Amino acid sequence: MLPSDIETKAALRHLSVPADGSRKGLSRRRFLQAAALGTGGLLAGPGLGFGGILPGWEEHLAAAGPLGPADGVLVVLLMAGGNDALNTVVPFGQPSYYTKRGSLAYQPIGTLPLAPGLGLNPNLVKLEARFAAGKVAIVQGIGVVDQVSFSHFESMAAWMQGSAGGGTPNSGWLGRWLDGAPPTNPFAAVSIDSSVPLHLIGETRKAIALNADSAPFGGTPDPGWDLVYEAFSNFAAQPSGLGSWGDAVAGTGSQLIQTAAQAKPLYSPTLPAGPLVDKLTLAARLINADLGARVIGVTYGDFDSHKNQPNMHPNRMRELDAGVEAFFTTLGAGFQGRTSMMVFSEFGRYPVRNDSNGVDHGWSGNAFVIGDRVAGGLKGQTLDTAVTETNGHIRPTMDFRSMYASLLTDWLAADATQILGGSFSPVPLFSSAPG
Amino acid sequence: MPTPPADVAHLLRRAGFGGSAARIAELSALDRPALVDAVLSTTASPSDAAPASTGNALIAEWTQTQDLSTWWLKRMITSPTPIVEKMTLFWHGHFASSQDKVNRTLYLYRQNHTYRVNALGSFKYLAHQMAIQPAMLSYLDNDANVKGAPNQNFARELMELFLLGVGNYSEDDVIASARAWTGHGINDNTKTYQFNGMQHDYELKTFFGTTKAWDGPEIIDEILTNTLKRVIAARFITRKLWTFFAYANPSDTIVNTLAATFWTSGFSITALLRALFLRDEFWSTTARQALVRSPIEYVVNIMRQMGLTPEEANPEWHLRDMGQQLFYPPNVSGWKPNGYWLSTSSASARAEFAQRVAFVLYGKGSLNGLWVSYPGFAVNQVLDLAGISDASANTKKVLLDYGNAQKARATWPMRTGLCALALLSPESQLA
Repeated sequence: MLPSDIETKAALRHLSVPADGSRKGLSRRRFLQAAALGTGGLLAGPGLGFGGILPGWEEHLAAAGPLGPADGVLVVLLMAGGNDALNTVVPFGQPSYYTKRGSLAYQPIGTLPLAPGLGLNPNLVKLEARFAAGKVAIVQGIGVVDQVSFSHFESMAAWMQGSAGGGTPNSGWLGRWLDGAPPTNPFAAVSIDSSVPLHLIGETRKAIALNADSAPFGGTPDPGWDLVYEAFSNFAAQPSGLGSWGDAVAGTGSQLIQTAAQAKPLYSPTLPAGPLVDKLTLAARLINADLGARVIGVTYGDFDSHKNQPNMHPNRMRELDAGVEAFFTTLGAGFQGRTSMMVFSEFGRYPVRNDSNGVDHGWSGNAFVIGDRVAGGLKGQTLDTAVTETNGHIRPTMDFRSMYASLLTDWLAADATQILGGSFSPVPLFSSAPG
Repeated sequence: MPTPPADVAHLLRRAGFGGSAARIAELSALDRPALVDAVLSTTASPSDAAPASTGNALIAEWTQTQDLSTWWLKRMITSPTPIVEKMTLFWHGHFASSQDKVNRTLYLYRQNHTYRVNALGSFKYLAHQMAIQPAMLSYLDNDANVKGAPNQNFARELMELFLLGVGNYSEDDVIASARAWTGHGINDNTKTYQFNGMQHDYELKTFFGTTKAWDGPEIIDEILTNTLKRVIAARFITRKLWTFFAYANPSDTIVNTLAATFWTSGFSITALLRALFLRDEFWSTTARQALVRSPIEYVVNIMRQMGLTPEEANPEWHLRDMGQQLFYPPNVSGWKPNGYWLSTSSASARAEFAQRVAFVLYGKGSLNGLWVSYPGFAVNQVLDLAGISDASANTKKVLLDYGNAQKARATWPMRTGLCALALLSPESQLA
């Protein structure tokens, strides 16, 4: 639905791009050219190419809007910095946990019950209630099994890229899902941030970004400025003549104007304050607005607790608990059965406490998958603090791509083998399909 | 032989934050080598005494950091030696430390001062200084790296992000380096670097195959003198600087040649930059179209061109949403180029800043001269005002179509509208 005649004019301009052959063919070719040109840096994936062509206006008009009744929505939350898996899902039944963690270890009595010998961090009260209700799968012992480095950068790149192959990654697993999704809706993948992380960047498309801090520019047609919005969008109506990055800059502006009007209502009433509650409330409202959002990325941190962990990690846990709760309580009833959230971190932390009262980078971690259709419970093998490599690390017992395979196949109905570049035995995560 | 004005403008955009028409005309008289030398000259760099609030315990840290940020933006806008501020910004993204964790503006100021005074000097000396700056000791936890309980954070990033790049060392090298850096910390009373021998591991360690009682600074010396490693380090820094100044993914030939210049000069940053700016590829169309302005570059170019101060334009209200805040790099790997800056939400923040600048200029009467009854004329005026001398046909058409459409409705919003659009054009957003 077009909110105003201004956007009709913009749409017409887009449609009037001189086309030799079908306009779709043109846009595709331009896109591939741009994709071939514009790479550089880990997060600097392909530019948006000939901006304004994709998402194409006529397609956008035809297909923007509601989810199909069986379309799954996936929210991916990154706990950036390396969440301490052992103090999140506490193996209090393991004597070596206490030997290695010393004063940082949680006593059994404070933790929230999960299973014999295993408790949830005392600050994850609401999450534990969801677990008890069977709505939370805890995927244990997950990580980059073939990891050779314990750097944030490399681990995050591996998780975000989500496929085998060396070199600097230039696309991410959900970005490649987006490449294969119908090229119709700008809201198909959304990053709730001021930037788009690698896992939401594909070979030919990338997620749009919505910032929780304020509604985007151009959202409210202003009597004095609506023509400016339209003109801003029109920088992308023709090639910029300034190369692929010039086109990409223009395309981003055009995409902003296209999406701003639809995103505006999401910011009212004012989002609740909080380091994660605001972002996840916006994510839930975005789903409720039924604009066609299928994949939503949220990044949140810092979890890098090298020092004085007790001053930091419990706060992150409380914020996580509050954020997840805000998300699911904001989410409309009609979307509960179609929405799942996956929570991960680039690695866990070292089993042994360091002398700064913190823990250094580790290896194996835990992930959470939360939602109405999730087959709740403990998946995989609990991290065993007694069994470590010669360097003292706990080796992951599950490849992170096994979890991706399930999310892609069972929740997004996508071709996991193609997206992940290989076959990974899926972990059963869902009790039924989205619906 | 004089240099074409478009070439001078290109160099001033990359080696600084853009040049005024007068400055471009002045430098056009020089040939290319003399032009590069003029741009690289640091002799006129003003002293950088800290803002009054820095380190004042009675003033909130947040306020201190805001003051420091404004102070630095002003330097970028007004400095007669913008290359110094540009390289200071580069080092801030390279040897990154964030106030998010350091939480002490005084440390960040001292680190900033150290980037600046060494910005074009010896990379070796800069690396040594960076390792013992309290900002870094705190940001990467080396202040907690002690004998018997090494904390690897700094030792790892020193090789991965500061000197060599991933894949050029082993996990054992990280472990050895972390032990070598034990005891290098901060004196809590004086708030300065302190070596504490009681906490230093004096035992033998094996680093890059050599077993001895390594001490932290010797690790840097080894990396930058070892005949194999110094070449890798020189290429690592060269590649990053080429990406910062020219374009991403340079050929090995460019990197290897410049890197040889770099290490044979004893890691002189000026020597490297001179060679970099004198390479033909730097002046190519590929290079001219290869970089999106970072948010800091974007706001500084605009304020410099428009003669606005940070107090007038308030860029700090928008920079975070654009994705770049001084003294708050997102993590230890700093900022990335190009696509990193392109998202709808950062575009929104740029647009809001452009709109603000347009209204500030309107309020100052700076847009009164735009001849809005004749949109064709007003478009040329506003492009001049924005310092865009080579607008593309498409940009001119967008502005003119807007002017005509706006005139048909009402001319009053056209002054601010045209100004904002000029500042949002691809020309304004590319470096």
